[in-house]
Amino acid sequence: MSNILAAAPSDIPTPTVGSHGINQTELAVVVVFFLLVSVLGFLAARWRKAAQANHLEEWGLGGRSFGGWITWFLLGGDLYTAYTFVAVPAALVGGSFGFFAVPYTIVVWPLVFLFLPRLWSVSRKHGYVTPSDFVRGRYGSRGLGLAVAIVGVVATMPYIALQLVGIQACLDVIGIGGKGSSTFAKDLPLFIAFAVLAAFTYASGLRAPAVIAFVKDFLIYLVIVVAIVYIPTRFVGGWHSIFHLAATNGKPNGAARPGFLSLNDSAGKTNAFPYATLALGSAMALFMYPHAQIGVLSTKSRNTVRKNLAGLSIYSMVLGLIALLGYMAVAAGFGIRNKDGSLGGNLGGNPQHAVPALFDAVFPSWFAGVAFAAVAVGALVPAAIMSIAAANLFTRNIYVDYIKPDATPHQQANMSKAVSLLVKFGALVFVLGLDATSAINFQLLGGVLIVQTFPAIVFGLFKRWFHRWALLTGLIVGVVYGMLTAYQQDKIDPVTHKMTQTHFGNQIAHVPGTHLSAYIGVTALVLNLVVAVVLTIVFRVLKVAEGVDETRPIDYTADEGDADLPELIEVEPALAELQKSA
Amino acid sequence: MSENEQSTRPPVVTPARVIAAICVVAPFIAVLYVTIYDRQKPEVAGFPFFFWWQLLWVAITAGLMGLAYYVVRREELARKAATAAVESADITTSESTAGTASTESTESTESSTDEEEGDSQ
Repeated sequence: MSNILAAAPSDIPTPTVGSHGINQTELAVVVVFFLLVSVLGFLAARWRKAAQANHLEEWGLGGRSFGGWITWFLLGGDLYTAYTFVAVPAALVGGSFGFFAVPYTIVVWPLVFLFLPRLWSVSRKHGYVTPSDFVRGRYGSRGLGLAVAIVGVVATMPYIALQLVGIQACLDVIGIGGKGSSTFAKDLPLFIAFAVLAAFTYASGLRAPAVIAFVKDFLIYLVIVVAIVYIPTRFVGGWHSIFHLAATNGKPNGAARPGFLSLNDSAGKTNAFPYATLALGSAMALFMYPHAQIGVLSTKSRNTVRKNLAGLSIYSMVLGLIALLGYMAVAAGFGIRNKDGSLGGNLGGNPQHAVPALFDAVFPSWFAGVAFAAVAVGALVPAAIMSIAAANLFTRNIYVDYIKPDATPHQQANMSKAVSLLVKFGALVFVLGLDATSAINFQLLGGVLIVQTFPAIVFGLFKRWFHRWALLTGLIVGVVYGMLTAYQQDKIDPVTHKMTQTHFGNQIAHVPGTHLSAYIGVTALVLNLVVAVVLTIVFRVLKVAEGVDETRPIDYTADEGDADLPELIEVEPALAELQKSA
Repeated sequence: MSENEQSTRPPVVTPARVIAAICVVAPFIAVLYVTIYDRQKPEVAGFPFFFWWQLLWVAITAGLMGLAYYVVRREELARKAATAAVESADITTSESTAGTASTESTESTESSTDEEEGDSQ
């Protein structure tokens, strides 16, 4: 008997996703919340008019004035996305390995503690708005700045793709599309999600995310509290039952599957190293994304973020509990396989359906609707912010710097809008082209790219030891290695041993020259660093020009109230124009 | 915080920074060295060891971050106060009382900063 304490079953029904028609109540509630949030976006733009609204720092960074509470909300917005609600619980449907998101969000805070105050100070001192600005100023290298900007824009796309998948999962469960035989009918929820995102961004721009973020957070907290307090009560035996039923796939007297109650798989082999590298790589990647920097640089003083780190840890705790919703779904009897082991089951072979299906099963329709609205708005807001942050990064550091230095404000604004749409199309391509049943892979793929900018940005904050061309070469090597390796990963179903995807199927790969497997992002980063170190020494011996560093050591500790801080920098006219026309 | 620091460059390694460094490094070891917690037993409140260990470290990390902020901030303010005192070159008190004076001014600066931040929210 592997179960000393046999777990009692739950009374949660487990209908197959899409087996009922469209749930009218759920749909109506979701639509109402969409409209409400869009209207709020419009109104907020009129309420929150700053005295100097035409300053980039006012428009893009809220005048660098945000104190503790707002910062807590803004940074929370970077963490609480469809990643938390859909992708992470879905990863747990396959076992405890998906729990790596918890150590990820634990180590991200000490990491942030180390470098963010210095980034804040130097950015405030020199008026940097993007990481690309900083890198260019620090290393006197336009090329390195350009590379950081390009990687930032591209890496954002799969992250947005993840948000689209999150919305799609909710729409699937409500009953829209999904059953038709044609591609269009099957992907209808995806196209709807895309259209709503595009309309939403256009309507609200970046002007009102603060207000919408409050609505979003209120909705999300309501749903979280109800979900993690109420749903466990539906299991006789509470958490003990949830864990053991998850391990037995909902069968009260079944044998526990390996890899659910700890990482050890059936052969007793541990997945410790891949688990640790996924956590570390994700943590290093998070604050390299263009959208995450907005939340950081908009704070009032260099220590605002540090001061809030203890409070921000609440996010990690809640993320851990939400992740376990995946276990609750499995414990209730949801699964992705038919009796013969083939993909299907009541989740339609797609673990992303786990949380929406669980909500649909345990909540009355109206509250399930509220929960879906929370997930969908919680995916839309970050997706909108991500696409605009990426578009601004493109316009500021690529278009104006390289393509058209004399672009008029109007041209810049149009470029930003076009790129923001293009970024979303890029995200759509990711969803259609890759395996959308493993959404967490999208975020990890973005991480493989963005984490390659870590040496240039973070090490640069402490010491200017690396040579600019060495950093650039390392970055390119890291990106190329990471993408090639990710491309080679096929996805093979562990039960049926059939290949379910030919490329980009997995973000964990064998580390050359070792017997270990690791997150590709981390392996590529190590390669990136080795190249950067070696080439720095070579370039120094050859006396290759180092470039001019426009920052001074003292700039990295500048704080609010210092006498010699510059005025908030002059407007970037394109953004003022964009703001007017949005 | 010895008396002779004012004339020389402040040391890079200080007790406060050592404490902060420990606070920052500890979570990395605790959750990235996976082998130490990759097991099922003992369970707590129905949670297998693997799960409650990590969730516990969320709370511990929160505490460590609070502590690290406190010691780093204290030292930062003390240094600023010390620099300001040197610049004004207006120290009328003896060497031994200068230390207490700067500590006092540190505390008052800290509380006024907190008030300002509180107001802006």
